[in-house]
Amino acid sequence: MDEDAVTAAYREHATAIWRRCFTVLRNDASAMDVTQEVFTRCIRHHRELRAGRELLGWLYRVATNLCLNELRDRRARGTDLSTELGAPELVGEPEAVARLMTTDILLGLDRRSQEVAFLVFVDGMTHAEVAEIMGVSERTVRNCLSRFVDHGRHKLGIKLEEET
Amino acid sequence: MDACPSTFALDDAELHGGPGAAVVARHVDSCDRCQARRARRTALARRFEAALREPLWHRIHAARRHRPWWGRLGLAAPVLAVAAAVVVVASGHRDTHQGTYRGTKGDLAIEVAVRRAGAVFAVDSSTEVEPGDELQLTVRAARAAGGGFVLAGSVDGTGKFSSFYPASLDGHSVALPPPGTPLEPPVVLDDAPGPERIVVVLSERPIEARVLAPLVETSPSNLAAALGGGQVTVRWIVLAKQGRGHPAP
Repeated sequence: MDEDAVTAAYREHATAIWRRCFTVLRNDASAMDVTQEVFTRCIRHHRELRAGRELLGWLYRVATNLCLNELRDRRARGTDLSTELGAPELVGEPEAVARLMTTDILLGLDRRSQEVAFLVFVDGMTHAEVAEIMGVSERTVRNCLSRFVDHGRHKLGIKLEEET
Repeated sequence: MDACPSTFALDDAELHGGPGAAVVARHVDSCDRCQARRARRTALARRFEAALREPLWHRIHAARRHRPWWGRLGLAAPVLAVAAAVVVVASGHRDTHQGTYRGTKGDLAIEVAVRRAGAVFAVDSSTEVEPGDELQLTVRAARAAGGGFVLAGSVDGTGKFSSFYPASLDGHSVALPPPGTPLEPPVVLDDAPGPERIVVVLSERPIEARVLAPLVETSPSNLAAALGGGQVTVRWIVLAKQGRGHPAP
């Protein structure tokens, strides 16, 4: 992809990436900052990227990791994520519920599992979609989700029946 | 399609169409939840496109010239710092803007490293820099070479001077960091036409960038004398550069 294609990529994908970041972060400034960084990296890596669905997947991944960083930073600053992210218009929406649940539980998990869980539970991706954009097998996706579930159980203090 | 499509599937269908788009569209048309999602997505898209799209594009390009990479790389920063530390030395001894700056002379050297597409490499006479490259300068100077302050900037192919350190023409020379410590933040090259002629001025006292700018643009070969003779040391590094444009989308 040449740099003219990066301009085209911004024209084509910026709305989707900003919208995604805003939906996750619920904050205009943060969504702008993250989207800016996503496309800055796109410019930096343009030679390695291919336009189309593959590029959208790459942008999604970068945005995911940057959003997770932002959430982690907020947590480190002592922000209550459930309050900050639980904007009134989202209460009761499946995406919001999943997001509130996962953002809190995700932190502390390994990065790949974080990303997989985020894509599945927050973005609602199928295992096949996650495998495609991350370039891993569906089995790897299932393993990561397994780790996420175990981590969540541990964090919430839930023991399986056979463990009690 | 029984399950609601993911945001990725919705975006992909919206942006790229393809055979899956029709399936997604059929689902959305028949699903109350997805129709509500579509309404929210449309509202957000309109907000972004009306007020944020263009300013964000300009922000992205404005940030390219002066942008630190260390802060954004988190744990990778120490690794890159080590990589940058072992790069080749591009240094010199001539107070002239002619030719690429090479070689080392006793008490003063300027190490130049470029970070491009995740790789850090040294600058030498064969290096052609590109817009988007992140340039890092490490000044290795004995105090005897001129003093404790450094001012650096570049003159692009149009003859216009831009100050790197300080970050704007309103500032003055910055204190030399400890030996071996690179100047911060690294410089992200913009798409101004090349070559990129970088001037580094070491001095015992701070120099205002606004004073240097017209001298650099009009008397590049006689800078040291114009700035105070023996109290000032000037080095030029000339880098060939590819040029590209960035029209606003």
